[in-house]
Amino acid sequence: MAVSVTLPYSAEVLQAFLAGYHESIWPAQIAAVLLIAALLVVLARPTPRTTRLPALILTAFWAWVGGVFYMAELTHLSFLATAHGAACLGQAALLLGHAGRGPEPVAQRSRARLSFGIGLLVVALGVYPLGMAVWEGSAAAWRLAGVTPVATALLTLGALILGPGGRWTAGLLGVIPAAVLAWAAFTAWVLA
Amino acid sequence: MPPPPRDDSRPDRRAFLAGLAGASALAWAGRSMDALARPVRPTDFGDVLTKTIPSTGEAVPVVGMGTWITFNVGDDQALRDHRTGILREFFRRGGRMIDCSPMYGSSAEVLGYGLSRLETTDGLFSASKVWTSWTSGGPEQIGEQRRLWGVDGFDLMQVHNLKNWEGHLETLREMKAEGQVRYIGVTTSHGRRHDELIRVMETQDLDFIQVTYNILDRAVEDRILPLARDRGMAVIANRPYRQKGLFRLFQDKPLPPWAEEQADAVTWADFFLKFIVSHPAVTCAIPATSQLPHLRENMAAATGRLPDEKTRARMAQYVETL
Ligand SMILES: NC(=O)c1ccc[n+]([C@@H]2O[C@H](COP(=O)([O-])OP(=O)(O)OC[C@H]3O[C@@H](n4cnc5c(N)ncnc54)[C@H](OP(=O)(O)O)[C@@H]3O)[C@@H](O)[C@H]2O)c1
Repeated sequence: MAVSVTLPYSAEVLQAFLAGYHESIWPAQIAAVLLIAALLVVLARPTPRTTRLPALILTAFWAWVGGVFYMAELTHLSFLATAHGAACLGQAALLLGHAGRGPEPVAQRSRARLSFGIGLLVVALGVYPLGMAVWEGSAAAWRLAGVTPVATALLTLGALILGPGGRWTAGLLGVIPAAVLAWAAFTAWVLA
Repeated sequence: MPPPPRDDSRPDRRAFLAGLAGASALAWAGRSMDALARPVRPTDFGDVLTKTIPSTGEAVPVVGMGTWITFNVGDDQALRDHRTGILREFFRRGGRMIDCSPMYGSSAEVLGYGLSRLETTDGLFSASKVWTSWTSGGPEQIGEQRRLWGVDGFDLMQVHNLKNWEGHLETLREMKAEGQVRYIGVTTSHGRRHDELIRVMETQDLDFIQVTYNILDRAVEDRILPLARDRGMAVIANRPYRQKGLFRLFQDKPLPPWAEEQADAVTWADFFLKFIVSHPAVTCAIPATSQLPHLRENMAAATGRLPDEKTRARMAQYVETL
């Protein structure tokens, strides 16, 4: 089956890799946490002057995940890392292009949109990393948004849903994050 | 989950069985001469069965070791040291052939790390691959593999999954002429690209082919294995356990008593590996493992008797009924 051809490492190795990755990028995590906090503030209190900020912050996250997580680090374990890294850099470019289009009107957010968006943020920043830490019995491989892909993809989707852009913007900018999540689900299935 | 405890007393019994097998091997009727694997290199655990590489007559043990996933452990020190232990045990039990590829992430580097820490790597049969679309990138990739393994040259260099085989085989032939590699070959897996493989086998001079062959994936029996015999090519069987798939399917099922009586197969690992390497055209199988008890089981399958043709047919039939 093609499955084994696509994933060249075990769950144990992935966990060890993430722990080592966190050590090697320290203290970048502090910057990521500060940027996440800024993102949350801007999403909670959007003003016409700050509508570009979420896309800019997310650009930095995707550029890091593509360039550092995949292309500089995971590439030692997986021949697929370069392609994944390129997709993340593509996402960073899309977000940057979006930010460059200038301020957007702050849209009214429906209750459903608010709940869905906030739900995704809670999963990205709490449920998912915490669940993985409990599952693995260690927080050394913490899935921190901004520096690891799945949490970044979840955070991005939440931010897009809560952000100022309309459905089309969220849809277009959500394709690569959704693909990252689909790949993660596949990975989890293979490694389980 | 930690692996279940294994019976470590088994090797002694193995040694005994191997002794018996040695005495009775030549008298064993009903087997072709090719299938008669010869025991050599006695270890603490009994004689290891070998088969010969047709192009030179050199003997290699019928069980080697793969490294896909299992040796791709990156920089993690504990995991690297653990895999070094696997290598040590592999050599201690008479293992020789280790198969790797530039596609396997950090596996080559981890292998090199382990090999450099062993007291001895006597008899290492290094098998790696070239895996790039560009012919000009081949020599560089092979050089990098040499550096990672820490070897002067490779015993066997294969074109991975037939990728750009026209270009790379030319390079490999030159390297062989210059003594940089001793044998050359091509690989496929998962039963893919068999028609192309046959074309390559019919038109190229190869020492080795590597294909997927196990008790459930037997497509190569029809044309590829007979062709390998006709053309004098050694055959490495990859995915001998279908990546754990065979254990998932059968490990809860009973081993038939006749497996031990007729082929010294006392574990499912024995059953699967002995089935493969007793095919007259197969030279060796290369199971991959990250666990010492599994390594011991795998190497144990290279001792004792191999099944004859009748028993092989019975083995295949038995798994079909499960
Ligand atoms: N195209 C190609 O060139 C190609 C393609 C495929 C494979 N290959 C080569 O062939 C080698 C073997 O194939 P493979 O690694 O794909 O699959 P495999 O050897 O059929 O299976 C490996 C799996 O079997 C498990 N295992 C090993 N010994 C066991 C035992 N005694 N009891 C229970 N489980 C056991 C291992 O798990 P544990 O770690 O838990 O023991 C590992 O997950 C590869 O490593 C590679 O070197 C080459």
